[in-house]
Amino acid sequence: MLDDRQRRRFEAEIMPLMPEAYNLARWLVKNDHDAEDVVQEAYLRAFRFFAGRRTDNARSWLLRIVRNTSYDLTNRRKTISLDTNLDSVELTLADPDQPDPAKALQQQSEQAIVREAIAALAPEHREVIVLRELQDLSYREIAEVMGVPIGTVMSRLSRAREQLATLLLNKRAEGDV
Amino acid sequence: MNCQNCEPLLSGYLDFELDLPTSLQVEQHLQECESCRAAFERQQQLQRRIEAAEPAYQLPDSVRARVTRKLRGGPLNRGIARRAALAFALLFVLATVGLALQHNFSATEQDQTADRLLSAHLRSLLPDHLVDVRSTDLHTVKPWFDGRISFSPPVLNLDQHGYMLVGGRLDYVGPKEAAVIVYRYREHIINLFIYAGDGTTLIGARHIQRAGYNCATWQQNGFLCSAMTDASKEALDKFIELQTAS
Repeated sequence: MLDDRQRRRFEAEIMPLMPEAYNLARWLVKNDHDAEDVVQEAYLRAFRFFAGRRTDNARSWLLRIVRNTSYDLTNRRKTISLDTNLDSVELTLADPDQPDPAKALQQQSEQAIVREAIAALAPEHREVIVLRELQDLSYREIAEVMGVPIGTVMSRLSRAREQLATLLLNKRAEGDV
Repeated sequence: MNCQNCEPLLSGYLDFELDLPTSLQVEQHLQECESCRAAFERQQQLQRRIEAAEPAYQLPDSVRARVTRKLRGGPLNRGIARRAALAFALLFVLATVGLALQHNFSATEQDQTADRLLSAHLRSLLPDHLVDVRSTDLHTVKPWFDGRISFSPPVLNLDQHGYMLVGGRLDYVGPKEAAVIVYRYREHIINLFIYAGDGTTLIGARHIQRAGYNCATWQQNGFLCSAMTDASKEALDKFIELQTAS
């Protein structure tokens, strides 16, 4: 249990990060309802682990918990739906040449187009794009969140950007030629 | 610098994350190499396009309110006075009721815990339930628990004694969250449940048999441990001896 001083620190440092926690969870679990569950569960975990944390960077510390909680949830889902072939699911999502979504995309807003493209990335590429481009974390912070070396962050980000650029290549917004 | 080692650095260059010498090298290569320059400009455009599209998801007010309420209504707002009152009430109840029924109570508790351990053990033997992290390397299994549970469970290499590490998972024994380290002894799975804190008052260090399975509970370095297995009692005893010897 946290003492009063720790509880005040939690209020001051962790509670204001909820928008970031939600955004990351939303990108990793891909729907509103699960994102809400993840944020709630992650905040309860964060509260429990707060006194024992080993870093001063509250942001990367919390986002690491959010990331783990998100993957715990998606892994649980995978275990439950044993019949679903997950590889094929990923492939369908990642295939930019499907006729129907492409048509639908033309009528969508630029925000929806970009969102769809990011969502189509493989999880390890998606999370690095979200942390860097949407949440503006430094490479060091991203490395802490994902538990990988900084060099890996850089090369993964390069690959993720290449893929995303390709995905978006033929989906220019109207007026943006 | 050539294209091959320039390519993975482009992101770092774009984000101002390279040290000065490397940054200068990339800069020079970009002046000389058209295709890398094109790749860099593509990334720059991409960055601008993402920024303009504002793809981030906004935290809905309802979610913020619900999570805040959950924490403030529960753990965040539990003042010292309230906790003291609670502890006092709990002590009182334990002292009066508990003392009178001590013998019965602990026996029931023991039974219940053994039942819970058995069902957790059986559940783990279903396909794909045994481990969340599968590795024979303790340096993979131990760090996996980092950030998933509030303590760092002991993971041992007991290969030379015939107890092979299989992996680890998170599990619940009743309401208690446990780190589970899974070992294999010959063809027998041993589930080692580790919880924070002590619980000697609930279950002493003793053996229980349940439906042909052997179960033991003991205290170790501030953790409460239970092992459940279909291996023999001797094999289990040896296992506990090795665990507590470290």
